[in-house]
Amino acid sequence: MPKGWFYWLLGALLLLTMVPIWWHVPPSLRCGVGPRLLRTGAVPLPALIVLVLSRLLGRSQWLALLGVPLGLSSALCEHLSLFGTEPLITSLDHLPLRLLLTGDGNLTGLCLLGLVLTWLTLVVTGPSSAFGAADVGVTTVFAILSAMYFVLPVGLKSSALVTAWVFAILLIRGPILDHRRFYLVPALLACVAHPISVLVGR
Amino acid sequence: MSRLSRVEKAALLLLCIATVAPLWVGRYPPLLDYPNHLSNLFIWRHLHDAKFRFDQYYTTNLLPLPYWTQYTIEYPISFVVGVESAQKIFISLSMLGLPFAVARYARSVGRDPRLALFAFPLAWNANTANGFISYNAALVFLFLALALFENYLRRPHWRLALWIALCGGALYFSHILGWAMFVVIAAVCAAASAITSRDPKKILLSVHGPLSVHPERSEAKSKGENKSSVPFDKLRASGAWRRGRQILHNLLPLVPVGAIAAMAAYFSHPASAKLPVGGVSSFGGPLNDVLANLSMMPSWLVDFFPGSIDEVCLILLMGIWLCILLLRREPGTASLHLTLASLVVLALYLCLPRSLVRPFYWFAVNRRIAVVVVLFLVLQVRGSLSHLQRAALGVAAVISLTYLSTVSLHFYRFNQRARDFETVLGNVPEDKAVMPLMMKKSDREVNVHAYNQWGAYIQLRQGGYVTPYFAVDFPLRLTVPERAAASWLDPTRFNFSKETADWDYILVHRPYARDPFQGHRNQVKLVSALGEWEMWEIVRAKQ
Repeated sequence: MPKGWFYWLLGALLLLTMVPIWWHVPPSLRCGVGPRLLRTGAVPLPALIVLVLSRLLGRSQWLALLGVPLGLSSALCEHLSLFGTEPLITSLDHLPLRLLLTGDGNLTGLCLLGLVLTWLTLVVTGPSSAFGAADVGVTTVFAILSAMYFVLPVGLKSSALVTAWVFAILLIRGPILDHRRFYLVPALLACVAHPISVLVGR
Repeated sequence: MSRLSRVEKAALLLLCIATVAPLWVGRYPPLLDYPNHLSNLFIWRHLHDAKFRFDQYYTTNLLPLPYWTQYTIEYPISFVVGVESAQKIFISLSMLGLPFAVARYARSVGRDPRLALFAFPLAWNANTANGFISYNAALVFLFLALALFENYLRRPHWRLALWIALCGGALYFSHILGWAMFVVIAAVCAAASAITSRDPKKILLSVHGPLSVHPERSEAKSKGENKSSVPFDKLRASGAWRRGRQILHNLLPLVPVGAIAAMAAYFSHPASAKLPVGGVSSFGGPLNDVLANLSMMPSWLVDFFPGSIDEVCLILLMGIWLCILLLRREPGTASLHLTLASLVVLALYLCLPRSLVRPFYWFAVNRRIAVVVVLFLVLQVRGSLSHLQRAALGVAAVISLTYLSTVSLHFYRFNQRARDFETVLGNVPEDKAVMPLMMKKSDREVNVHAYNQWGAYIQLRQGGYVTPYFAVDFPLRLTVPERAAASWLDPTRFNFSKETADWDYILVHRPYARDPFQGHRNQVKLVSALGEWEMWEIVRAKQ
């Protein structure tokens, strides 16, 4: 179980993630005060969902760190629509562009890589025990959401992708202790760098 | 690692057949650079054949440049089976070689070789679609060389060093990008192996001397050196000195690999092959940002033909790989070298330019590495595969077979239409010069401009001269000035009055939006038209 300072760290990172909505606002996020407040409220959602579900499913709560950059996802500026399709190859090509809100191309790309590398390392180094009911459930939801990303209209793709990523985080099993905690470093850097990337690349 | 079961062997055989089948379903594999590689080999083989009159226009220019591996293998085979089959055999070998080389590397880094199954569909990637024949062969040598190097780091032996040198040489003469990847990965792994080695025997081995094992003597010597008061001896006894020597020792097999490349570069006279090479600073090209590089990766994997089947197969294969990753029942062991190799390849993919524009144009540099990045990603699954994981791999085999069969189907349909070309060309006397005018460069069966270099096929029948497609004069060089002809990159700019003086006939691939003979209809006569092809004779006014 993480100690109190973990929650302080999580809170600080979430506050940092909210900054681009109010300060040096990128064109994609420019709107009135009301919508901004709504978006600010949406920022901590992915991390909080991961935090709650990880507790329910017996996962490490450190995983919430991987959900923090998703607060500034492309879903925030998505115009929800039931119309518009695209070829599958475009959905595949646009996958990296739809997960995180794009700021500076290099920095956002590195943030994305940091998240993916952390995820991969934690999955690879996780325990190799048999799948429980929770694992099957999480995997099924993740598979359905991933399929939805390819099937849904363009205006809903980012939201589906972000939700799929939340469940992808929950696929990481086992306690995050000792050397495994060091694998969180790229994700931690991504949490800090992503708001900066949005500010820089506005 | 358990042995392959009968079912797995049968699946392997089926996959091998399906992997090479697209090449053999018709005469014309619709791959971008394929025709010009073919005509290069054909001209070289028939250079002094009076029937083709090639020696009036070309001479050999056999410099020690990359691509030699391809021509060295194809040239002798062509005496037995002909030029076209020789090239297909070479490509088949490199396509089949990839999964086997990846399996060999997987075994050397402690991964289950069955994971190499994913290399079967990935053999038909965007590099193959672009006809990067030598680069594909280089990938085979890359994984073989890395597997050998991994074994060398574990058990140094001169025989292994020799094999690495041979493989590294073949790699350089296949493709410089593959060679560069190998050298960087091997150097990083050699250093890491020496730094992280906790085996005293291994460290002492290097103190005593390369490639000889006398740990007891070395240990005694080492102890003696510790007592010595001479500063140099203290330094020699120190860990840093030992590790430094270990690094050099590990790097030994790379010396001949580098020397072969250095000698080849020294004697290659790049200028005579139209390769204006200068210092490192003279190289340059557009760089993608990291996000753009990540974004273009799927297109450089299996976006082979129009429609969604290739993408669906890719998505399903990704899903199955993820299942295999999650269904792990064995903890397995970490492989530092595999991790480092993966990171190096990823870094090269992110840092190299998209294409090279100076000092010469070289299409697609970092994009070619996308498939290597994915192959390294595939190998991240630790431990031997359980029954459940192998069952998932069985599903991957079925999907791979579907993908490969679809490639065959598209190639077959392409050939059905393209073969009308032979009938149309059959109406032209063999000594006449035919200019290709590919008004429609693409085809509905593939995503590349399959007709771009079609003139090479004209050359295979008519002999003589056809506009060169490759900028580099290797293995042949033109001995005459280039003739005015329609641009193969932009045939819509065709200018009849300026570009037909040296030609007798014009082969047109239709349809075309703008009449290429507008204003000159009285100077051309339609000889034949069939399917998508037209053959026009240029009628010259009698003097």
